[in-house]
Amino acid sequence: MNNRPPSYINQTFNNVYVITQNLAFLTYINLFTDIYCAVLIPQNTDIVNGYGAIPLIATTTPKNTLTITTSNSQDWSDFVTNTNPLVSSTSTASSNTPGASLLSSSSYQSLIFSFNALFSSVSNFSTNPSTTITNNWGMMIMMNPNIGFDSNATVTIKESIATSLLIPSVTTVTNVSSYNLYTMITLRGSTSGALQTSFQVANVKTSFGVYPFRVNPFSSIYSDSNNMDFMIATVDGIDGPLNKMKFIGYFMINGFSQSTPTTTIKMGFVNYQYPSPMDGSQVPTVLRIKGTISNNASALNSLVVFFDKLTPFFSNMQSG
Amino acid sequence: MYNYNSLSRFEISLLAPSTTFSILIPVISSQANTNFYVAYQTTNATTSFKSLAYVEPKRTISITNTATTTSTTGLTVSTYSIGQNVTNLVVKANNGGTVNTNSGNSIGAAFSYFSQWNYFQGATITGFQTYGTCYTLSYLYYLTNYAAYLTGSTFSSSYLLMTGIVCSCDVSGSITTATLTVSTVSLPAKWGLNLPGYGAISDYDGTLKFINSNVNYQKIGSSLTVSNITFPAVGPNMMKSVGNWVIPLPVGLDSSVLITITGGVTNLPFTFYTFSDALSTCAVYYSNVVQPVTCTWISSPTSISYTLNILESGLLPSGSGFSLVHYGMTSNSSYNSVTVSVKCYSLLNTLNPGANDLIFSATNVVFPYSGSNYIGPSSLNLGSFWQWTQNKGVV
Repeated sequence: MNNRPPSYINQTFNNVYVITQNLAFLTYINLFTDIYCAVLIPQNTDIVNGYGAIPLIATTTPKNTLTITTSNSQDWSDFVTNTNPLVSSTSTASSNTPGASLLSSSSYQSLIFSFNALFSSVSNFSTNPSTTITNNWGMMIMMNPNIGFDSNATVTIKESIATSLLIPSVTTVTNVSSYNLYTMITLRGSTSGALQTSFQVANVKTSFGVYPFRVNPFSSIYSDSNNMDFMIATVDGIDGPLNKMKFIGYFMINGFSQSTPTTTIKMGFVNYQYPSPMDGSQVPTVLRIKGTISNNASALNSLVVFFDKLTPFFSNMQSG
Repeated sequence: MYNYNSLSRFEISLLAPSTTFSILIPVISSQANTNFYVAYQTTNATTSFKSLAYVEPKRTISITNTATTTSTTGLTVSTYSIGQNVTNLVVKANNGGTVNTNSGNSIGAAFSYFSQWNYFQGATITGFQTYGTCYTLSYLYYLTNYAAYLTGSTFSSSYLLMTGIVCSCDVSGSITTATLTVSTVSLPAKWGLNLPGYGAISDYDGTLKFINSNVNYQKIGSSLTVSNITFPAVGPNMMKSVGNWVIPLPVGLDSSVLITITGGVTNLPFTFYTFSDALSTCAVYYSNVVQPVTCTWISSPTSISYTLNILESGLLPSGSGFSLVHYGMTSNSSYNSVTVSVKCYSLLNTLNPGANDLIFSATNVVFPYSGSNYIGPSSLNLGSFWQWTQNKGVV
């Protein structure tokens, strides 16, 4: 706390009176600079007895009002079974069976999330299944509106462990005049037990599918409006008020929609040796890709090979 | 689970392929397990929107094996000479056994041959149709010891444009007697008899089974003979004279060589001022024009060796224009004509070359000594040799 500014007495200020319990407001104004916060202490307060006529004043520190609060994503991907954290199923019913990928299709699909997320990473409430979560627990899954949901459809959830006690709802905003376009799935649970089918106390692989969605276009390879990144947050007290909500867990998934693999492209090594790898001074190790493109070949632009820890040579050319 | 951002990627332009394609990418991999995804990128014809439309299932390749190096594959050159242009050169593409025919994702069965000398440029390769297809490819092998250099080691590097073939056994792995025929090959000269190159056989899962250098399979059959060498004119009482070795080159010299002239147990008919006098030096000329080739020499009474540091090809082509000029030759009346051998060795593989590094030679040739008072030709044509006197006194 500083003393009030010297010019305080002689200046005319626009005053806003807010009760000090409104933490959300106090947090909000701290984003701005040069705002004086005056706290008027009741006259009968023992600690500051005799000073009640003079408000204690703090100046908000200069801040960039455009700052974005960031949180590191947790890692809920399942390293054990090597399952993609997000896939889809073209099954006509709600499914929780992981497939190979997020498939582009005009048909309804289940979005299937396979997580290795502990209860403690999604909620701070007691693990006792009967514990009531004040104002409900929620998982918000925000995604590209290209993943569509019909407003007149009924969303369902199917969990891999047991019948789901989570309540799903979906909001999708696709009107071009809207400021933000998105589709958001919200899962709600009222007790710790409702969460523990998919977010267990022990380390257990689980999955759940939410149905029905349309994943029609392909995702972009660039950072643009066709990205299909999924941002997930879990919240204790999701039904508010805002200052009582507590964000617990975050997870982000780079989603790529694709067609069903054609499996017509084969890939392997030639001349591979380990633990004495070929450095190229004699013969090189060669990565060979062979195959045909049967689907949508006329639209093919390039092949992309993703790999770990290979080193290509500086230049190469091939003919034959 | 491998995430997108933890992987590297190749992106290979491949527009609307209508037939089976085969892409070969030389790589270095230093791990037992390597994981891959291959995806296709498509372009929407209307919006030009690019997307990864298909991703094949992840492929993990796990190989731990060390190849056998005592095999016999490679160029069959034992009947040829250095620098020879060969028609229908036979390449042994087998080690007497079979490999598994390529199938599914196991497409690694192949015979490979790579070298820093391009044996296959402009040539037709036949003979492998029974087993599969041969592809030619090249890559730049560039290696330095930069990390060690930063901690005090002497800098070293290797910079080789490697060229070769990969013949995939997509049809049959029964390569027990497989050979290739290369329509035309120009055998190199600058390595001497030690032909550069390695042959390798890989099985269908990619495991390198056999690899051997061509030197261990076959060396070039014979080096070349040089004739009509003109020796420096030597006679009694020469003092710091200019000697001129004219050696008609049977092949061009494109890299550093060691040229020796030795009389066996017999002394050569001259001596030299040494470098310590700064009065004796040698230089390389071609067609009477000095060349940017560093020349150093050492001598004994019975021999002299010239090291020519040749950093550029084409300076010394085959033919009669090559000469080694040595300033500082000295003699007295005690000498006689001697029989010497002249040898030219490659220094590409070693600084102490031997018989397998020999490029050309002449044996039992007479180095004439003129016993009269004649001490050499009346003139010596050196295109860039100047001599003058400074501060000449006026009488």
